[in-house]
Amino acid sequence: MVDDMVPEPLRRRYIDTFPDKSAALSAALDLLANGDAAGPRSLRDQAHKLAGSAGMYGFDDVGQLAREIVHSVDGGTADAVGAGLTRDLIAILNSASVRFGL
Amino acid sequence: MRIDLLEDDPDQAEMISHWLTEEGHDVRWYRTGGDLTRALHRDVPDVLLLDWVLPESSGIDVLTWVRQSFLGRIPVVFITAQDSEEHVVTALQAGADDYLVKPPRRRELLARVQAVGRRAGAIQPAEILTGTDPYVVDVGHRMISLRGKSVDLTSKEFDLAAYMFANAGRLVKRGVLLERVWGRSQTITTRTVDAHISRIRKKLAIDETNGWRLISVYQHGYRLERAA
Repeated sequence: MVDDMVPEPLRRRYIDTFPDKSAALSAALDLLANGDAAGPRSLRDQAHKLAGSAGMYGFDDVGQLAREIVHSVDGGTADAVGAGLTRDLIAILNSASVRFGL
Repeated sequence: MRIDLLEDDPDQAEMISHWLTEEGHDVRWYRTGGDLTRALHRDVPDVLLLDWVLPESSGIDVLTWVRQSFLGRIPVVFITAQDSEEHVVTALQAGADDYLVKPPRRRELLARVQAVGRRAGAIQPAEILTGTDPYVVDVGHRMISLRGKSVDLTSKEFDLAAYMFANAGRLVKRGVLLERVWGRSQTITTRTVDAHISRIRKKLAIDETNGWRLISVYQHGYRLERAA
């Protein structure tokens, strides 16, 4: 899961943002659940950033899941597919946060 | 090279900047198209790296502006999560020189940046030191190979090794290495030099079997010389 080429201080700084990323995804999920029109956009924005960054820090699984969420929003299945994937992603981020002592 | 990076996500900007800086490039990071275009009025980089999705204007807007402006032909590389064929074609037709899908891979990103810079003339033709066999020390491409196999070195390790090969047979003082490789202003100790020497000796397998030795001269410095 972790890339040896990633300097430890940078990796640590990235991991430190997992709780915030998880909270932002949860907030987007709430918007989606409440039928808020901003829900899909918000979810896409959060997932889009994770899709771009996670692989660079060695978290390929996070990046892959985030990419699937982006595709689900773009494909109009944010409610049906994206929400479930987002819950999986939040679980991974929360689990990693606990594992890394956050 | 001087490289301007347009990326709104600090996580991605930090890692990309780190990779490029480690390779000896000078990177300036901008979060918005407005910040970047204002900076381009003052100073033109050798290569421009653009994200596509940005808070205010898109990377394509910035690219269009660059191509229509007075800036001339700055090489532009897109680094974006937009991975459809349609997006790639749109960017290339708008004047991008290359396109990388996120997450970029370190070596590929560095190679592509190097390639567009070379095509644009920002990088001088490779300079290869002579008389270093079985090593090839390619200063232009910042690469050292041993018997045709490239050796993975950090930027500082390369600088140090290249300096030692360029001064083969001479005693080089630690202070000189500190100044040449790390610069005067750095708060680096000679212990760092010793550690790096040890690493390049190991990574490059500088020993009798390869016809070289890198010896420590007590209280003075180091000498890289042909093994007798």
